[in-house]
Amino acid sequence: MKSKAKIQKAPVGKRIIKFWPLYVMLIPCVVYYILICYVPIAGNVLAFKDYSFKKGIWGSDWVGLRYFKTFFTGYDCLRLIKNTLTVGLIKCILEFPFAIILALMLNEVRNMKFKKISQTITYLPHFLSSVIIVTMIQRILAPNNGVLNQIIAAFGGKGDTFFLMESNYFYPILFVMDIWRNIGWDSIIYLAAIAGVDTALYEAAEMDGCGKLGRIWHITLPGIRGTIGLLFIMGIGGLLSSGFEQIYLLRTPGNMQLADTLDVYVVRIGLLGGQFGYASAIGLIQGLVGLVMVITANKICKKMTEVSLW
Amino acid sequence: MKKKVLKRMFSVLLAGTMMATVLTGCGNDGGNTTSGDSQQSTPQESSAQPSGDDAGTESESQGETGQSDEWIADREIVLHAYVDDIYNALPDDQVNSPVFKEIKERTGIQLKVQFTPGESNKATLAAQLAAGTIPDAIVCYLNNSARPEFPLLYKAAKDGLFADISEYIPNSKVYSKYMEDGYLPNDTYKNIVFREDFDGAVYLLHLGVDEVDRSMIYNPDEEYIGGPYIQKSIVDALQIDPTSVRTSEDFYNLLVKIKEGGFKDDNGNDVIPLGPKYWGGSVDAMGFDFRGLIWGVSDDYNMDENGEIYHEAETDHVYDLINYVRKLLAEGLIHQEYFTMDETRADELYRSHSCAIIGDVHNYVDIIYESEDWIPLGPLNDLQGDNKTVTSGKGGRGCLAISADAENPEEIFRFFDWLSTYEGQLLTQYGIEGLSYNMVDGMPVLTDEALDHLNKGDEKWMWNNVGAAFGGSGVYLWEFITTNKNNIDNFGESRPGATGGSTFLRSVELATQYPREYKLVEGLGATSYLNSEDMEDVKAQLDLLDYNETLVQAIFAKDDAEVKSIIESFRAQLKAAGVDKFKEKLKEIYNEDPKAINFYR
Amino acid sequence: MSKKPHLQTGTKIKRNLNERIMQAFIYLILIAFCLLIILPCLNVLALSFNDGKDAASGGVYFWPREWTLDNYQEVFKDGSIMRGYVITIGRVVVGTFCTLLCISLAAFALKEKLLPGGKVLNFLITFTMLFGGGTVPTYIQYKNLHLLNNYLVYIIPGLYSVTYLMMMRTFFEGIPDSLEESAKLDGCGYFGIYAKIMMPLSKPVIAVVGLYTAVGHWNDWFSGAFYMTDNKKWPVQTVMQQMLSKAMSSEKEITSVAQAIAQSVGRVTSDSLKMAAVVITTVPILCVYPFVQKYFAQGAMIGAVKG
Repeated sequence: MKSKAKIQKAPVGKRIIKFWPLYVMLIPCVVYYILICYVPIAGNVLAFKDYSFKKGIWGSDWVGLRYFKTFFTGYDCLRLIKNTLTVGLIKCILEFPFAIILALMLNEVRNMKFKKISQTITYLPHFLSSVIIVTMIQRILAPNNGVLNQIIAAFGGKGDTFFLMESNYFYPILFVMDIWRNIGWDSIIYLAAIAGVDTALYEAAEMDGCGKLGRIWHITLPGIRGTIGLLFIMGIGGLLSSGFEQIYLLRTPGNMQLADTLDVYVVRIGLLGGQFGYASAIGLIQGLVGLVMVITANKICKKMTEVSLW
Repeated sequence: MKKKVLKRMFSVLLAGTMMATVLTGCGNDGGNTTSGDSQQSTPQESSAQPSGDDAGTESESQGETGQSDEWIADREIVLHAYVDDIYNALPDDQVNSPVFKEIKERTGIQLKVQFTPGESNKATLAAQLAAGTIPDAIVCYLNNSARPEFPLLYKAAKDGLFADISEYIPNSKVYSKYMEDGYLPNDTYKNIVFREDFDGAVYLLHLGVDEVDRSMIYNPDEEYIGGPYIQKSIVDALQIDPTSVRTSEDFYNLLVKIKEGGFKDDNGNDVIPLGPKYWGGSVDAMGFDFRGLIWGVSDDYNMDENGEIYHEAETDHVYDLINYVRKLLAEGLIHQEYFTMDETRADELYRSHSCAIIGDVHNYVDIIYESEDWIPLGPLNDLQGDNKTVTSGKGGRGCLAISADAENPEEIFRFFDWLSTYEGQLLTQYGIEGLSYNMVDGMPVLTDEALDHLNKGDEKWMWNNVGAAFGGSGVYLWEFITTNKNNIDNFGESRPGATGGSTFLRSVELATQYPREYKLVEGLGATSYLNSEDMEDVKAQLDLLDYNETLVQAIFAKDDAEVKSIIESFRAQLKAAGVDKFKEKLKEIYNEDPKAINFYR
Repeated sequence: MSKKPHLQTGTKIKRNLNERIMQAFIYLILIAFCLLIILPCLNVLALSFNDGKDAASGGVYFWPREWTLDNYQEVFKDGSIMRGYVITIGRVVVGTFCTLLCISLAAFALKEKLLPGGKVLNFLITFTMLFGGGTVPTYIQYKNLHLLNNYLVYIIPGLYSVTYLMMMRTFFEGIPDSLEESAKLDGCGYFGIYAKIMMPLSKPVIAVVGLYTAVGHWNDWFSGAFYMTDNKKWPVQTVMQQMLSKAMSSEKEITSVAQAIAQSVGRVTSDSLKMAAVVITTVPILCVYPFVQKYFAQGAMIGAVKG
């Protein structure tokens, strides 16, 4: 402890010398982020340029804020933002606790064999390709002869709902599908975090007469709050970039009013249409919003869990 | 620091054959065998990187004077194919496939095809053009200049990504024909190959142009019959003539009759009268199934009797269509997933005969030619009141462009030129003499072995053991990258094995039994004129609108009021996007040359 | 638990009962959830063992109707799958190792709160998570780095990941400072602390990051398709992606019989064949998990600290 305080007081120059091995460890990291990430990120100037194949990124002509103007004055800009936010909220916030709950449940299972098997099973869907998933979803949700409709019919319902064509089912379907596909996978990190919680604490809690739920609440959750906070901050940055694939799979003319998000829009308009500048502009908007969210979330997390990204 | 890393990476870089595409101009230029013409046009590549990694891609072309006139150069040409049909039908080993080997022997060229799977062809094309990483040459879909790929190709050509091949064309064996009057279709000539705004340069070659225009002649051997197909057993049971179904009312009545007939599918469930397109639900099938109700024949635009141009949504015709389909839906005459079903399930649907009518399929799909269960229905009348199939005349299929950075583009051009000569076509279509065909009375005839594999649909044999196209059953690449085709006059049959092959007997039989008539409507789809520079803003806005999806939305609306509000809102969006400005422009173009746009009524 | 002393008071019985109920509840939910997952996967399995033509007429659910191994034979006959396997396994092993090494070193350095510039670095790294380069600039940069058509493109772009880096950093921060201090007193340098203290104590997080990275490598088809023009250098997932996407060739209009024929040839890949390919490419990586699982057992880490 003494040495720590000493370092803290030491001037920056001294500290740099003291920590030189750490800087050595960081060299590959810095090189990587400059070459692989930051150089391409600089390519985002495309958002302000009319991209010419020959002149390249830096040589192309400036167009100022044209793409931003086109986007913000477009008739469906508001709808896009609203949809993106809704999907983002579902994915970043609503779904967030489920993986934790699954991890906690798995942790409580005493039969090791059952635990291992169910753990393996829950992470299976992560490996299924989307081409296969879309067929499955259609089989399950088809009107009349779909599995779900047949179940509804068996219980005396009408069983002719066209789930994929009705916009009010879009968010529930998205939510369920996402949970189905991801929570097993996401829970792995929490399982690892739970593994790091000191077992002695549990024993002490039991002595104090704490029930199972109490132990989870008072020991396990605080024990993994670092991981939870971290993943929450990470997730919240993606609020406006909720991914393209899943939504595109579920998108039908019936629900496209809700299913058009910025990511879908970028692929549909920007990349397929070869409008790279426009695509970059939207990417920038998403990034900026993400940045604001992450900074805010980081502040809040710092206060609540002492976890901070920087 | 960056330089250092670059250097390090470079040193690890595998010295492979692909180096030729990454570094421009390693090795010397092997074009000294050219028969005298235009040596000065070869870009003088300064060997920027005289590295030692050229890995023998360029061995010296040793004194080829004694070679036949087929010889081009001892080199490799790398072609990127943005065409999934091409890369789904390639030999496992391109170097050792007999036809590729034979080409190498005769011309010295080792053709190497590369591709990017799993992504939309167009998106890859866009990204690779933008990044400037195209190899020696590229091919992509391009039926005409209205294809969505065209703006990309045009921009790339304008930006100087492609080599100017105008000098080589006059002396070429096949492509010189492109300069002849009336050989090329109007659109190909004016908008793709010899564009005025290219100032005499030629960057894009349209592929797959037929030598003789047979677009108006009906030859059952060469026709694919698209549109709706109906179960033969149902036709027999109802005792109807499927060709007599002409109007939307006829079609509706037929659907009602089928429904009332109480037919069952293989699993004992009720047959639904009308199902989706065979390749999965899509709005495309509407063009066949509800043909008479489609007013916007030119990319949703058309001209009314007063000479005014409208988008279909701006007219009341849109309500006729929507209400018709809504009626079918309400009465259970059409599959609810007509617009959305995925491909696997649609296939399943028809394998178990669960729908009486396939919304759209054609006679070269196995479900049609492998049984006698399905026969063509209609075709239905269009808005003109006849059921002729519209054709725009002679056309092309794909586009070839040579990279401006390619080493000695003339050799590449000459290679593609050679492929389209009689010798090239014979080799790439029929394969190797003695192995896959023999000459009988001056015409190639497939060997029994080849015919047997063809009939069995053994495409692996055709890809790996021969490597020829066999009219699309084998290596489709050749079919796609050649031009000036005339199989009937050259080889005596419309495609290898057309006489004697059994696979497609049923296809031809159907085409013979249910002949179609053609009518010529010249011109391009209206939206191709959005590509001009003064329309940029309008295009950007209009591209965001999806009329087809709006239609489906309206069709599935809860009530008429909602239908109306959906359409009204679409109309407002059209207006806001600047459709009026676009219509003005169309009018101008049409008045100048009515054949420029394919309006008809 | 049942071997506890027999001092069962009323509350204890009640608590045991509560716990029983809770256990039952957990089992019930987990079983239901697993069923929801396993049934569709069984369907994939059943289809893969069913005759392709027969399966196309529908009705194959959880058990094949016409047993066959043809689909598997067919997939394996394609030499590119086996070649792809070798490449994939290579990149999983090399890539995971390099990533773990690089990330753990960086995380160890960044965990030091007093490191001048550390805060800025952390922020700059997080920044890359929010702003991507976009397809084109990335492509151009890879080209400039000569990564295109180079096996390194499988390894280098995935070396670091913001999430994993932060995950490891957070984990390292949780390891008591006292251990580090005492190591320092024993004359250990930073590299020594890293190797002798951090690594042995971080098995759970290394296991999880390693697993995530390995699976990421395994599943990645995109870099093969996009940055490797030579299809002989594709990993197995890219090969499979080509198989799966064969069917989706509806983006063009048909203009000739040859094209019509080619289209139906391209479609020959039956659903069953696809499923067989899916099974073949999924099962190996699934087998990795059980080996990693043991590191997640409760107390695995702290036990090590104390022992």
